[in-house]
Amino acid sequence: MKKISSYLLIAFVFLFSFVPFLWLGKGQILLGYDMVYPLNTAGFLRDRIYSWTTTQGFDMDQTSIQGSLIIHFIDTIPQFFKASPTLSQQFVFSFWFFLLLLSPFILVKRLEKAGLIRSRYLAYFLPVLYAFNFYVLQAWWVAERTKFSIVVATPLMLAVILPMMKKRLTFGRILKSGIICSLILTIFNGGGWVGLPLFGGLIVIFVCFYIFYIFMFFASRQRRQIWPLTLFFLIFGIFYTLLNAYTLLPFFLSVIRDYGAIVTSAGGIGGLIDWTKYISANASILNLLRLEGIPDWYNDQIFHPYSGYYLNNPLLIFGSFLFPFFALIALRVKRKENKTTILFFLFLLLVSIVFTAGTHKPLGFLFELLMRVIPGFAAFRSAIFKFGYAYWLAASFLIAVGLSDSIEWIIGKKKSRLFVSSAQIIFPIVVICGIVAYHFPYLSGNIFHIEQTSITTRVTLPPYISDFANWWNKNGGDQRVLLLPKLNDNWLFEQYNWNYMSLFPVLGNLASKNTIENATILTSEEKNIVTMLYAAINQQNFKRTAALSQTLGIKYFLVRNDFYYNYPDQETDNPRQVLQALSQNPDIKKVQSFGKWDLYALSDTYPIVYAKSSAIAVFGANTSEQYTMDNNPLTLDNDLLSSQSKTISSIIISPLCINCTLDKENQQFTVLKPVILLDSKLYELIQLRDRLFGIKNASADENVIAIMGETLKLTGQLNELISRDVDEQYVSKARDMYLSDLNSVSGLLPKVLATSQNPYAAIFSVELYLDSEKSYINSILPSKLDKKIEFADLEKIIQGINQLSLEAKSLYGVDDSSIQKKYRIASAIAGDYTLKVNKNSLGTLVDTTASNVAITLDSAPSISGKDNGDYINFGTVHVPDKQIILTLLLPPAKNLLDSPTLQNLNGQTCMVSTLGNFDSSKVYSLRFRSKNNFDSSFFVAIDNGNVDTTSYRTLIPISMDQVIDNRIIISTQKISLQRNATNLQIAFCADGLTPDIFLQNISDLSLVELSSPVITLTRKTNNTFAKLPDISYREIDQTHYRVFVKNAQGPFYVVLNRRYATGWRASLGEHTIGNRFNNVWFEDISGDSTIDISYRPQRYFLTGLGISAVSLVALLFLLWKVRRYGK
Amino acid sequence: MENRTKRFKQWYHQNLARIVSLLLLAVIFGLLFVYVPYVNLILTPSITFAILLVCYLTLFPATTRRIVIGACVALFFGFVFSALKLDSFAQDFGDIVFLLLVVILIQHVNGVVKEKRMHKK
Repeated sequence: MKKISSYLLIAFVFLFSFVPFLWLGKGQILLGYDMVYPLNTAGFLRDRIYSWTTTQGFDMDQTSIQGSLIIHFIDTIPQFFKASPTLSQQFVFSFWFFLLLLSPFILVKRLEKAGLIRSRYLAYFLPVLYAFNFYVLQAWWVAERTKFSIVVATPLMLAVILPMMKKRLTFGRILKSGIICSLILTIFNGGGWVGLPLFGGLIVIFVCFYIFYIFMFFASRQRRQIWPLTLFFLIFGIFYTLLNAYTLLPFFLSVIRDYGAIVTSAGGIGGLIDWTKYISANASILNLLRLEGIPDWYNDQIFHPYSGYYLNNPLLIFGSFLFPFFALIALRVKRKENKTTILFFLFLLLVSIVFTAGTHKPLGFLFELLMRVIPGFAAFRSAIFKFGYAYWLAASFLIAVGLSDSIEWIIGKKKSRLFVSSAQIIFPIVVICGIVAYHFPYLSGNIFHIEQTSITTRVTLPPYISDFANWWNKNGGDQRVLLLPKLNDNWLFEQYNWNYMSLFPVLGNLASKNTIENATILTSEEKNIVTMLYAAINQQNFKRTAALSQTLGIKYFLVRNDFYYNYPDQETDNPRQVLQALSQNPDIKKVQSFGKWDLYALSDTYPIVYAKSSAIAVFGANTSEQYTMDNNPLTLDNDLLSSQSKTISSIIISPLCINCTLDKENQQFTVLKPVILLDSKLYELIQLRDRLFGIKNASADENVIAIMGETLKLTGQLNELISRDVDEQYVSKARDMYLSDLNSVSGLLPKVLATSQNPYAAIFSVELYLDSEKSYINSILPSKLDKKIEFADLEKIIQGINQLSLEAKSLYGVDDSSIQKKYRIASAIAGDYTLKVNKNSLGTLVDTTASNVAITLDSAPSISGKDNGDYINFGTVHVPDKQIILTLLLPPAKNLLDSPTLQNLNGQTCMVSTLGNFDSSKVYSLRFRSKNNFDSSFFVAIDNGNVDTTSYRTLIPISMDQVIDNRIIISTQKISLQRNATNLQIAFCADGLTPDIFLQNISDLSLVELSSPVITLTRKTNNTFAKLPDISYREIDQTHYRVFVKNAQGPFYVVLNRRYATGWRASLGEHTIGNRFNNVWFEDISGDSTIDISYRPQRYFLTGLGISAVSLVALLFLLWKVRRYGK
Repeated sequence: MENRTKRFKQWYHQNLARIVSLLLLAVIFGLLFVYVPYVNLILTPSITFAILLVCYLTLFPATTRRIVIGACVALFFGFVFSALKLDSFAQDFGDIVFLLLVVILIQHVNGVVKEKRMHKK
């Protein structure tokens, strides 16, 4: 009977493996967001065996994800047997669900066999708790098989190492355990080294295991056992390294070197800590004890498919508290068997909960410290996701033990055999059903939405996508296809009106090569060029479209008419308009339609490998000037100019405007309330801290900014000191310190102007600091009228501020940035250059006459411009061989707003001004002087004038009792505005507002465009090599090309139109970057020759694969030899 | 009733030193907190409470069973505050449960170590 009930319960538990069959309807599959699923099995797996993939953007290294070969191999098995995508996913997901249930089951059975635990229903409850919980459910949203892989591996490895500790550690036992653990982690590898942070939980488990047993050895005076235990980890590490050499070798030799760059791109360590704080905001100890705390739940619970139930329903809230309750029950019961296992899991729970909670209090400071101190720890920034499974395992184990103990206790109370035998089956089944029912979203399948919109990861893939992919894989060859319309610049999501949304292109799942769009994987340089191409297509600039397409190797254009182009907040170009623009281009012809996708082709393009006889040298910011000179220009960066000068046909300098972005930033400085005041003894400690940890060897502008930071703090000090009526000497001291700081800044300003790379930024910041501090002091002055001495101190400070403000403005005024654009021309080659300014980049000016636009080079006399079509020409200017400042003098910007009129908007009385030709790609500055003397609810509303789009409306209150000069930056980057809108509406609203009251309170209202004019200096040298050789090539595979050169008569360039990477090596020539994204080799050879171009990490991969294969055979043999050890 | 009072008196006399020590600690921390400036920057209310709880459990060692019951009570309050949407109060009770779990671990480890040493002898 006991056996039958046991088998029945096992069958019942594993029946839940089929839960994924409830999720997918006919034709549905999971796809989108972070979910990558191979829908073209052969192509996908073939691509993954190479270290260089051509399925994403301008190609990229994929050494860090080659470990996912195993996971994707599992994905593909049902498709090899011709199962439909839906059925394939159902089988694959069920398989993972089965493993999630099986691995903890094996753990319990092994522990029971070793006599480490005796808990009758643990083997049934633990698998259910481990597979049905919100941590795993969150991963099912995108079927995160990489995470499941590690989640499965963890109990399996514990199933090996915990029983190992039962007996004395011999070499044979640790050898056998080491081999088994390394094999487990090789199979369930978390998807490769890109998923390294996923190992966080496993590392915590291993560290806990090591510390726990070391302590136990010490406590039980078995210190000799410490060395074998240490040796086990050493053996395990070596075997694991050998087995995974195929991913480790290329990863460490090529990817890991870029760790610094990865941290910098994520906003530095400060940015990463901010992210952790965001992720950990709700990972409190209590929430984690309740097995909750998943960040998505709390961000927007109204839109979350199920979190609202668990956070609001009292019954479900009560249910969540039963988990910690039963975990406590497990700790209460006196056990006859070995307590060590329970203790280990309690220890693991306490340690892992700290890591899982991340930066959440009370122990979040420890996590933050680890992020700052341990290099690489920042990789675990999404704390709950990276450490959570270790915590969930420990918690599930204790909860399962508690549940099992409770049932045993209830059954033990009754003597009736019938009751006992039936309760032994019914009670566990009820508990299991209770756990599953509590996690009801598993059964309802309502887990694939993240918000209220129709976007979901459960989609029905339209058949035309597979049709196009098949056609493209057959006919595309080496050519690239540009996907249109472009992705929203801010979000970069690929979004379709059949509910798909992802940063990963849908065609990537079908292993389609050479598909280009402005996706997140592009480098900033690549994105610039692709954005230029999108703009050229939309503007119907056929010449530039052709030149940019040739440079990028793009022959085809795919217009996706099913693109969700008007998705709120992620709007982009309307596919119909794109289609219209393409159809006007005489060089582009329609090839074929695939359902809602239309494919067009350019009549001519360059192959992937070609030769060039000359190059254009480009200096400074991004320029598109080279694309007007050649239909496929090769541009080289300035560092090659000296070595390759005889090949340079033109030099283009596009200097960076160093003050154009200053007034586009909403810089605001807030005076904070000080924690420690000047009259405290502890203030000296603050000063000591500043001295010790302040910036050392700072430049003049860094010093100025640091001192202004001090003055801002002193402003707060002054207010607090006066408010608290402290001794007058402290107020005087603060005043003197303040004035002394202002003097220091005054002395440093000329040095800033002389030495700083961008003096205008520093001076601009000083002015903003002074404005903020003056405004703050002015606001507190009326409250200090009764304190005469202190009032006089504050007045002195105002005088000091006014004086420094005048000095700063005499060097560079805030308003100067709109009429004086400053450019730094650095390390250019001396010579005469033709200088011109793109008229479209000047913004909207009061006077657009070319002769009223002028330039000056350093202190030379100004030169007026001459109109020349799209440009204003300034003739030839001489550029000296030193750094110079070029100033572009412009007429003032035009006020774009019409006169305000009284209107009723949404029941509010408003004075409304509008801008009729609003351009969402531009940046505007709204300026007005305000004083509000009539209504505390007086506000300004900025929107696109659509009554029904309140989410695109920004409301700013008008402060009372103060005259304020307002500057509000208006752009889609700064405030919520519709991207496709052509109107902008500024409405000042208040009850009882009349034109007279408006004029009394609002003056100098204007809206101007903030521009960054594009200046180009060009010099033609006309150097080229005599004759190009005949070039042909053969693609061995996507990491290896063979180039055949015939009749070379001198030096030339070979261009490989794949993304530049140092791993690309040629058997001949000097490697460099061309066009700012692709590979170029300078070849100085003559006659006939063959050049081998290959991607080096692929060699590491193959070497690693050899090591892994040999190691696998050797370890399996060793395992067979030691199979009897420990039995 | 008389017996109970008698037993309480007996317990009171036996544990007077501990009771005084605990109250003294509570007063010291209270005074530190209220009257010494900037101490509250380091000794937050949670840390003060945690120190006092640890002191209490050191002075009056409780059985694991009692600590577990204490943790269950803390959980109950956590549930009440969660249901009332008073999350910050609820979180504090979660932190108390965490602290009690640490105490339980220490007690269990002590027990296991003693057991192992006995077993070895």
